Amino acid sequence: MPHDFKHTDDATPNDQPAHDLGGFIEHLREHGLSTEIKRSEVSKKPYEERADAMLLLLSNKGQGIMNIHAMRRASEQFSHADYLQLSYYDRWVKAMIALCIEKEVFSNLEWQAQLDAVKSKARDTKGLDGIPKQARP
Amino acid sequence: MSSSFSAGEIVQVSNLYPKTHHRVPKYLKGKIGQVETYLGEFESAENLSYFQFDKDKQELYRVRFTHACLWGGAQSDEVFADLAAPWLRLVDTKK
Repeated sequence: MPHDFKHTDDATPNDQPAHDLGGFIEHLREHGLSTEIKRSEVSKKPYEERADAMLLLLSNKGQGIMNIHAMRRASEQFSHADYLQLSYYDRWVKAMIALCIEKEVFSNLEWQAQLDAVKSKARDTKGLDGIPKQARP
Repeated sequence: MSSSFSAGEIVQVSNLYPKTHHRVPKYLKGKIGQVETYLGEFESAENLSYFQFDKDKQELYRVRFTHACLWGGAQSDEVFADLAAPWLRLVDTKK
């Protein structure tokens, strides 16, 4: 459900869409964002490579069912908590899902059903973190 | 076709708040800057984000803003932003 941001000159940080908070330092700190630049390398997770590949395939050189500009537009609808606290690729995945629903690749109902099915299967066989039950201490 | 603005000209960014996707941050809206460079014509990211592929290209300008103009204070830092012509209007400095 898109958030109803105010889009006005005098909007407080909470009324502003989450991507447009430049200069609202205190608000960003309240969401746990640091103003320090982290200079250490971030390790890559397998699903992040998949997310990247998926976006390239779905974009098909700008002629596909999404593009990087639409991805930005989709993520601008996120709540502040989602936009500011999801990891970079989690945000991508969430935006891709929103665009797939918008472009009727699948419906929101189908998405929710698939999500439930995967979660329930994961509970039966292994944890949601991907570690098989029998491998747990 | 010649470009709408030239390097050195003073421009003001529109103080508009469309609900649609746009590429101008709040902290630049209504602010006055100086055209640094004309970057050429590009497809509009705003149109592409709605899958509108048949729209005219837009002139893109790199505009220089001073820290003082954006946020006040005495710092000498500058902010450079690439902005599309429809978001800019010439400020008459002869008045």
